[in-house]
Amino acid sequence: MTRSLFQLLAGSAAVAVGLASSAAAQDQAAQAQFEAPVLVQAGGEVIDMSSQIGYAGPALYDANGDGLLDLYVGCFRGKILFAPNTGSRAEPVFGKPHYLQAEGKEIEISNW
Amino acid sequence: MDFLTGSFDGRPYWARATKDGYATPVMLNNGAGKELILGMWWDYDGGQWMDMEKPHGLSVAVVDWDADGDFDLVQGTSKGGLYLCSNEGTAQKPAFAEQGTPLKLEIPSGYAMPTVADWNGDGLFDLICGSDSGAIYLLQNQGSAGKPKFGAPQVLLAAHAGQPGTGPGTDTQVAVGDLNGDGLPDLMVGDQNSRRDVSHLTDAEQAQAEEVQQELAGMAEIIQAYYGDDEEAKSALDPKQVERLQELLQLQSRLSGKYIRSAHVWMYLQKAPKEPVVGLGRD
Repeated sequence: MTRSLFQLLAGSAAVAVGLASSAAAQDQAAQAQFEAPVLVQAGGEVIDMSSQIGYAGPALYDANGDGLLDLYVGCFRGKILFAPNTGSRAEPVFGKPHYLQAEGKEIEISNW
Repeated sequence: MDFLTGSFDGRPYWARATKDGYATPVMLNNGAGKELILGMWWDYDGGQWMDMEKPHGLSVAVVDWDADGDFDLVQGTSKGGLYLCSNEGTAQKPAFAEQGTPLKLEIPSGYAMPTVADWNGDGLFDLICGSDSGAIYLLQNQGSAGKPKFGAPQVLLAAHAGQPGTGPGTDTQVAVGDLNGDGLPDLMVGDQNSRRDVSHLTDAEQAQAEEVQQELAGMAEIIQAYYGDDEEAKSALDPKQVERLQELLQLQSRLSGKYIRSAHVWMYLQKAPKEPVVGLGRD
């Protein structure tokens, strides 16, 4: 009985330490610090979706499996801009962008 | 790789990858074969918004919520709510729930635009959300694999307070990835920016613009009658007041500056923490 109780208490202590550690980690994660924002370019020009009614919506995915995250940008008009990452692991550089196509036509998700 | 996208009309759309690129995106259906709609939606046939009292689902993120091997959906709404739409089918044959389940999590300024990533490196997915104010929120997963449980939204990145054009505006959307190979997740933040640029106006013109605004503010009843549907109230207006109102509106138009809209993408690289990350398994 005594032994069981000790194990239970030891287990509780371990859980408590784990929780404290996890809480500290989560506090730290929420306090992330960032470098100053950098206006992203693609193909040497600033990405600006205002001609597509704005609301730039980025997504990152390694489309060609080269280990670099490529950039997709949605917009209110429903088009999706794709800019391949032609840089390196340490420094992303986004190359000439184009709008994604489906079955030979530019994708345009209906929005309203 | 297929992709899913939210839309302003309230429906998620699915573009299936093909050997030639993508198939034409289609509205995503639920398990009953009907359009997957969270709440308010645009009726293309009737030409009007429907179910306007319900939340307006705008965005969608894809994640295996319950660790059952298929993807589920997390949807964000214009009022800031987050909803789970469970996949009750399989990875090969998804069957999404007919009704989204509210997660009882609210992005304070509304316009919840979630994405999914393991932000704190604990092996569980977290939610990172753009918002109407421009702030980016982190909702950390305090549950376990297959049983996610989220804490209250924490501000990961405050709304940009600098000069216009030096950081994101409002209505932010966010993507997460390690962009510089340092092992820490970074942010890509998309935005929407609408403002009036009056920098080309002289000091005298800017002062006049303020006077015009003040005088117009004092003419609220006249403006209401002038633009309203009440013909009797409109005909009762003093012609001199109408003439002055028209004059002021012309001045306001001339002195209001250039309308500038932009929608950019901003990269935020995360700095290395000063203290080692506590209790996490990040490489």
